[in-house]
Amino acid sequence: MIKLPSSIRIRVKEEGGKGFGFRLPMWLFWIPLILLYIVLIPLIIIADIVMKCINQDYRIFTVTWEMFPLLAALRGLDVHVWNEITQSEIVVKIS
Amino acid sequence: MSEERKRILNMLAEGKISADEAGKLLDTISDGPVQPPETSVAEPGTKKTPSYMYVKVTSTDDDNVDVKVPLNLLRAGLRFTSLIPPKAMEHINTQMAEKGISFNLNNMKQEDVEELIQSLSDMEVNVNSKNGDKVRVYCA
Repeated sequence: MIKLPSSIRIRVKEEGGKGFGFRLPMWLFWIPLILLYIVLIPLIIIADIVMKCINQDYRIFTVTWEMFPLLAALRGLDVHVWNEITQSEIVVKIS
Repeated sequence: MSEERKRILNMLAEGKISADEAGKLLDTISDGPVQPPETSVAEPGTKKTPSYMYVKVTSTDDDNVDVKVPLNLLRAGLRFTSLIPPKAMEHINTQMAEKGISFNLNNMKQEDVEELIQSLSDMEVNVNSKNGDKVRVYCA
């Protein structure tokens, strides 16, 4: 079962230790993304028809079906950039 | 040849059974004894499939980077190769073959991807630059 990431954590610490951090639920991104997808469906259908004409092996809605595993694969992405001298850091974690 | 197989073939030769019946009987004896259920204990020597790719950068300026990338992104990304038009795919394969890489993206199956990811567990890249910067890439 495809499990989309549920939250994203971002922490930014500037030189001297000041900074901010927050944890956002990912549904704040998924809902606008789904709405955008619904709006773009006519264009997506046209693109799929063109792709089918170019490549007979192309399956309709391939991009749609493969987008969900791609987004789900973001779960576990962890980026940590820091500087020991200035004590600044940027952390992005998707879980 | 086992006795049972000989008996079945003799019966077929004598016309006592049809070819279909002989085939079914031979399949039954070739299945062998019931195999015990597989246990979850890994056999010694089997590699654990890595889940993440780690990139660690340490610089002399004390700018450090740690990135952990899920390897599921590789699996999901490879699925998009089906979007490449056939003519472009042929061109890619030709160019790779010219460079000595006899690899056909058309023939890539899920098992090949899993084997590729499993073999990444042995991959480790260590770069030490002249000014002391270090880069380490590995999968675990």
